[in-house]
Amino acid sequence: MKNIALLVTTPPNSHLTKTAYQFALDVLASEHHLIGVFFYQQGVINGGKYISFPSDEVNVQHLWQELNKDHQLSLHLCSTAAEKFGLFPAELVNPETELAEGFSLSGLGELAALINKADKLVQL
Amino acid sequence: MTTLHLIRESSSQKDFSTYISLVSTNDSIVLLDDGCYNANSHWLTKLNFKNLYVIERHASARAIPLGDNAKSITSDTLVDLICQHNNSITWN
Amino acid sequence: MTNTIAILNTRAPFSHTNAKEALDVALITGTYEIPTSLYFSGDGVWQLINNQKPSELAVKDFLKTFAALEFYDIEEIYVDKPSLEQRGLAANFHIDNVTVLDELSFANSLKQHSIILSF
Repeated sequence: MKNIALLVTTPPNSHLTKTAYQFALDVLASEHHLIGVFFYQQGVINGGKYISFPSDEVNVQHLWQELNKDHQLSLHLCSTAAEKFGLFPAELVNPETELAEGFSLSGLGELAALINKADKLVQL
Repeated sequence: MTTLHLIRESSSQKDFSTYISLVSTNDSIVLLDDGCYNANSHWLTKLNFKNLYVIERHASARAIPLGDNAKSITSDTLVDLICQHNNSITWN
Repeated sequence: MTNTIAILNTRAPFSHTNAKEALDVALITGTYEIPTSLYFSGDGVWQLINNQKPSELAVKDFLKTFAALEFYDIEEIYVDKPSLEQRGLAANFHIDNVTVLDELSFANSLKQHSIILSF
């Protein structure tokens, strides 16, 4: 059994993000352990509270949230990138209240912590 | 040492020259997403590597015919491939 | 087994945010004492070329941060020789301790690492 961490850098409207989600789902269904997902660069937009999807399209944010709920999968948003992309006002005391449920704000230190724990880090 | 190369875009969307020189004979390549468009490309067939894997759904969704050189896989096989190789490089 | 991380830089410094974001990752993994090495190939080699003036583009001079890498124990910095040659560039960098490797050595060195991130 291996510990696998996932680095996601694509926004929720990109089809590539569904591939990253599918990989997460496949790891969770395997004998291996998915120790966390770190959203970096445009990937942080996946955790935006106010993004919306056309009703006839797959809502990838909901899919991530399901993984968080059903598998207690950590969904870390890089805080610097999240601020840069306007996910919350910089002066906000509790910025986590402005994120979509299930996502958490983390520094890049969390990515380093995942790297320390992981046997494999996959960049999708 | 074996490396798994993950290609997610077509070679006309991105300059692959810097990644191509990283491929060696024991490595394998996975085509996923728009990377599937490279399946029958000349630059790819000229390279020396072990296996070419293509995520079957990603190719069939794009009407890309796969030749004998490619092994069709389902998405969950990617997890096994990641674990079987020493490391992976995403052609970003 | 402890991971070592290689960060592969393939893009020029300014029009893309990748260069800065890759550097941010390196500084953090360095801080966490994860052995971190930097690799530059393709247009990524432009990140190290001397005499750039980001201020003329109203871009913050993040290239200056490269000089601090040694304080983060990041001392393995490699450049792909053919990438320099293809761009008509001399090995004239704004930081010291850069090693220029031929194509094969560059690939072999990069692929020794258990984790490779590309930006």
